[in-house]
Amino acid sequence: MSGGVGDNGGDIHNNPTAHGDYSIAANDIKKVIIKWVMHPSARWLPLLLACAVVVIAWTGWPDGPARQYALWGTLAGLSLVTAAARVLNRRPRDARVVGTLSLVSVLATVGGWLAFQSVRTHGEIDVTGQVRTQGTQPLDDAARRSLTLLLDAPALEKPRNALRLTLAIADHNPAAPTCLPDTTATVSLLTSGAAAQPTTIRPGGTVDFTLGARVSTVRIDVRLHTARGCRMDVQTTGAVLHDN
Amino acid sequence: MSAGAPPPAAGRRHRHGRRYRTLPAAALLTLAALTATACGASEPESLFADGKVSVGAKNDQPGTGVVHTYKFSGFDITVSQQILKSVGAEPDFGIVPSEDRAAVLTDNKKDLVAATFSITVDRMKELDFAGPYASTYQGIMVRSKDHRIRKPEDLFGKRVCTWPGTTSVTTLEGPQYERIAVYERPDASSCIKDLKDTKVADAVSTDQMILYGFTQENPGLRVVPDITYGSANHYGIAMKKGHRQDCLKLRDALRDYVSSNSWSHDFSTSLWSIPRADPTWETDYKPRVETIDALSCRDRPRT
Repeated sequence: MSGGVGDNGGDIHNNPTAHGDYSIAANDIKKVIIKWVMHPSARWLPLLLACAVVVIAWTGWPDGPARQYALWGTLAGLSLVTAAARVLNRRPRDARVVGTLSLVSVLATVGGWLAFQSVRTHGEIDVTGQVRTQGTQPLDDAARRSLTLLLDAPALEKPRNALRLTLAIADHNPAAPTCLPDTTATVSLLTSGAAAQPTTIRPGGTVDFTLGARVSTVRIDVRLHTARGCRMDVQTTGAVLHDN
Repeated sequence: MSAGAPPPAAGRRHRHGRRYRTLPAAALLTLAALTATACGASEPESLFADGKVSVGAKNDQPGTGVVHTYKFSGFDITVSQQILKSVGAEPDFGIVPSEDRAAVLTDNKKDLVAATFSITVDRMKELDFAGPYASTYQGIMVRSKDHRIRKPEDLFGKRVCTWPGTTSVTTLEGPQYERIAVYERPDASSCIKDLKDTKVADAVSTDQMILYGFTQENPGLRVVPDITYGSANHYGIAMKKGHRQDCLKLRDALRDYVSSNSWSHDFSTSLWSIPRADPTWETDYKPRVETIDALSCRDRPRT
């Protein structure tokens, strides 16, 4: 008996063409990548890419709390470290090692750039220093109990749909009897197109207003509630625009 | 050597083995002792350890703190006795002038001060308070027969006597009171003398609770009920910082005291003129438990 498995199928399992043209293409791509990765000129490419992204991000650095850049920082660090490792590996013995380093570096660079863009578009913007106060202080429980906080157009240049506000309320005279335990403030939004959202907060408290559609100015009314004879100072210690 | 006895070398090995096992245990014990000492050092010995606590009090304020025939009496005194009794201690009262109330604590001359001492943000940075045990507004006392002063504006151009080291002086220093001719005398007794005898003063200004106390021993004087200045003064029992556990014990005792009937009984006994003049005296002078929690044993008020 001739033929059988030996004739028709003996070399089938070792034949690269057994799975069709896709396998040939994959093999070719793999060879090209390995050739490129192992090429001396490709050593610096991931590092140059990572550095370029860091420099561009640095020049266009937006405001806001540092914690929101944690993901970007981690990915940028990872891309720089892996790219540097690739550069230092001058005579690679294993293509898989340098390939992995280059791939991780490029992916981290791309991921970091996307994270940075996300923060730029939706991240928090600290506008504490741009809040203007209208009204006379100290506030009391009688005639002078209201204050207006204003955010003008330049502060609202980058569109965000919410504002987080933190108010410090302190005794006007710290040497006089303290009124802090008996003091609260009702904070309301006076911006057209947005609900007032009146919220009562204690000294040092935070309120989050939904601003809705793009607004050109933000007006906030602060109404003090305190005990008889108390005179208090109100100060904005935090104003952060963000997206809900 | 008996046959059953272990050889000398084996005995040494056994002893050495035990010593090696003992060394880590000893080191651990030493470490534990050092840790305990270090932790103990952060909180000094309790002020109530020997059962006797030196308390600074006023001697010239009838109703709140006064000395008659070498005996202290008044609401400050009663509150101190009741609160300290709850923590198993007994007060040993000594006189302290208003301006020295903080210094006697920081200089370790007194353990506590219960002397109509108002809790302020500035004072909370330096001292711990258990309080308030009473709250009162600053007011005005005039001669009973003087009916010129009925409302705040009537005091413009009048001579008003105060004494140093009090929040009363601070309040009247405000720009809204610049038309009142405020002047200082060394102590409360001098101001009373200026008002009652020499008539140099048209009025005396300090906390209403103290003023009502003065009227109890001076029938020729009266408090003008409708004139108050500034915000409510909250009186606390003060101590030097670093005794937080003792402070918290006093706070808990004070909460129980204020929540019981004893507070009203003791207040109306010491300051009997207040319930007669003010029908809402319990609401006006008794502190809320939330206020005690907000101001007691803290570096700044809880908000």
